[in-house]
Amino acid sequence: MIKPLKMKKIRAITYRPYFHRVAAVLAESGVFHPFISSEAEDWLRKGLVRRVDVSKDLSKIDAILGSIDKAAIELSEASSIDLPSFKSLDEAMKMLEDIEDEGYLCRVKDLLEECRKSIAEGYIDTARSSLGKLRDLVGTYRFSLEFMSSTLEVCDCIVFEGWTPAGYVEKLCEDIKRASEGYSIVEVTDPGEEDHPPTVIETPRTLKVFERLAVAYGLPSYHEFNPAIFFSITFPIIFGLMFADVGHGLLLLILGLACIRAKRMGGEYGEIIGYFVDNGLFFVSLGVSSIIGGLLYGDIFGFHGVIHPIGFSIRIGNTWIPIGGYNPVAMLEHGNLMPMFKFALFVGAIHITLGLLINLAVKLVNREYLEALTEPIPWLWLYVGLIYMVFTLKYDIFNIVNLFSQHLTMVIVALVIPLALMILGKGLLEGFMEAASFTFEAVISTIGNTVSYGRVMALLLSHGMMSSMFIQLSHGMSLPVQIAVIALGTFLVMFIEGLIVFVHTVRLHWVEWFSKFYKGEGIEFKPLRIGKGGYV
Amino acid sequence: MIEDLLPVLSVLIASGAPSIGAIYAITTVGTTMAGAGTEKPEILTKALIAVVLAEAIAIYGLLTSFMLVTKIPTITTLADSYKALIASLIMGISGLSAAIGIARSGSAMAGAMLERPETFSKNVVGVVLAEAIAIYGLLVAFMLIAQIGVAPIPH
Repeated sequence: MIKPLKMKKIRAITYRPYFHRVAAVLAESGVFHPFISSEAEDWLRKGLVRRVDVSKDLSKIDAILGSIDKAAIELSEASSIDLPSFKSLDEAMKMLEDIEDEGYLCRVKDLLEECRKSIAEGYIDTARSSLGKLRDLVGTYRFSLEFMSSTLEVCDCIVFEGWTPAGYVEKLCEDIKRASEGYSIVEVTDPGEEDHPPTVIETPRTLKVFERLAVAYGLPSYHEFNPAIFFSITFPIIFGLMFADVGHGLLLLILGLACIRAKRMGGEYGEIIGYFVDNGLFFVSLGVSSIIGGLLYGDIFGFHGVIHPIGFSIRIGNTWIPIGGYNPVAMLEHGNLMPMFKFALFVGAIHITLGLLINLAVKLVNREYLEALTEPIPWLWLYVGLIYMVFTLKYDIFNIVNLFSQHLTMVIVALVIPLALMILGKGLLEGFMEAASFTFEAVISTIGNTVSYGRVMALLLSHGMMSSMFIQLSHGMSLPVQIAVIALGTFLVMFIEGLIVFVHTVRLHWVEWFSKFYKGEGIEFKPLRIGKGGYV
Repeated sequence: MIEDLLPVLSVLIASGAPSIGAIYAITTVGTTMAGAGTEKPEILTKALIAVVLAEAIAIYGLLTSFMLVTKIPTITTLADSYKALIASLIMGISGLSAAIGIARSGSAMAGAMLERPETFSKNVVGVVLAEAIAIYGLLVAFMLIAQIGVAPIPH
């Protein structure tokens, strides 16, 4: 679930006459992702193998498909009285003679004969169905020719390579052997260092919507973690901290539950409504998180003071960080924004630390201990140290002389050691220029990213302000008008603010968070598959 | 006299400048999207992010001007009216500059996705970083407006 599925590399050599049957088996299995390895490309360069040239066969098959389609149209216009001519079918038949594949040709010819006979006897429906079968058969042939064009040939054998999830390898190998009646050699190997296997991630069905959001940034590469799992935890939390309102949260929750119900009942929905209906659970999670956020800030439909904000403080260094316990709009009116800003930065610090921890975990799981020691460990150390220093010294951190004279131990432990580890470690591994630029970028970007979480506060404020704006507008109006204005305001806030907060939450995850542990440069797993029309 | 004019003027700037920026960005990105969408409609959902972010700039302007309006009764000194003016300028200038960024990078992103949809994840960074400028402006403007009409807090 967290790691992508394990892949195996399959390399097979088949005797040419059996290739089409093997291709059909591969396409039927739906787990074979063809590719050409760098080793095979090397053989190609040295002239050990050739690319298979199928362009002539392909154009023939296309012509046959064309005449089959023509025959199908004639057939569809025909009635039992007015029988169609055999002209198109005969054309197809004649062209088939050119294809050099005995076994296959027999089956196609049989079907053609069947079709002809049915037409002659006036069984239009039977003729139609056998024509459909014929089209599928020729389509499949075309498909395997296309696959063939991406393979290599040596003497009378075809060499092809591909990736398959480890769980399916044994069955696939057996199937290949059976289809080729033993005229094949199959070799299965584990992915090597320089291989880039395609990625298959298995996310639980309930978290699919988070997978879509995370993967929209980029698929994880084979060695990375599935980001959807972590995404699904932090995404609602950060959304809820910005869209904090008990009332709006309840509306989201109800929307989500209604969507889940609608999904269960089934039925057809338009594109946009359908999107909502598909993602009911997503809205439920956002709604619950918004309610919790609303309780922290004591907001309900923009009214503050109705419910008392629940909150507590935690202490880092010398700073008490209040988590909830105040109302943002009320704080703004009193001109006291510092607690909120501290909290926003705290959220950023936690989130980024989490990202760095995931980075470390990925490195450890992949057994890249040396990389772990030179990249994520000092980075994490430096970051946590820096955050601790900021929260301990506050504004004194800018007083450089004081910093070095009074807090020297802290400076050494929190800054100097991890910086040295990073520069020296990475420098010895990859060269000092690389190390210096990496360190510089890591420090600057991490500080910038943390400050960027200030938007948690800005959007929280704008959410509170937007809702309270309509309440203030409605002052002095009669009750029904007041309710109408507030309802309109709630709708606007839910829609516009909701969209903005959503986009910003996505952005915090993609830009600030993913840059700590996620590259998203995976290759999509595209198995061979025969489509509905016979071929893909 | 000027203490009366400046706060009202700042409301105008705070709502006007970001609106101009937002509409510039929306029309630029929107027209590109309309063109790109005729070729590949499936990219529109992702490209819409630029329009949403552009619209957000206008909302930041709206919020700033709304806060200024609520603060007008408490503005009595010249210093406070300067604060109001500067806060609106901060929002206005940052909103305008963010809009330029979103307009350029957003429409380029929509165009690039026509040919290679996978470039979205990297190109969107430009759009969201441009938008960040507006939100920083909003933050600073909020902090400045919060100081209007209140006695300084003892440390």
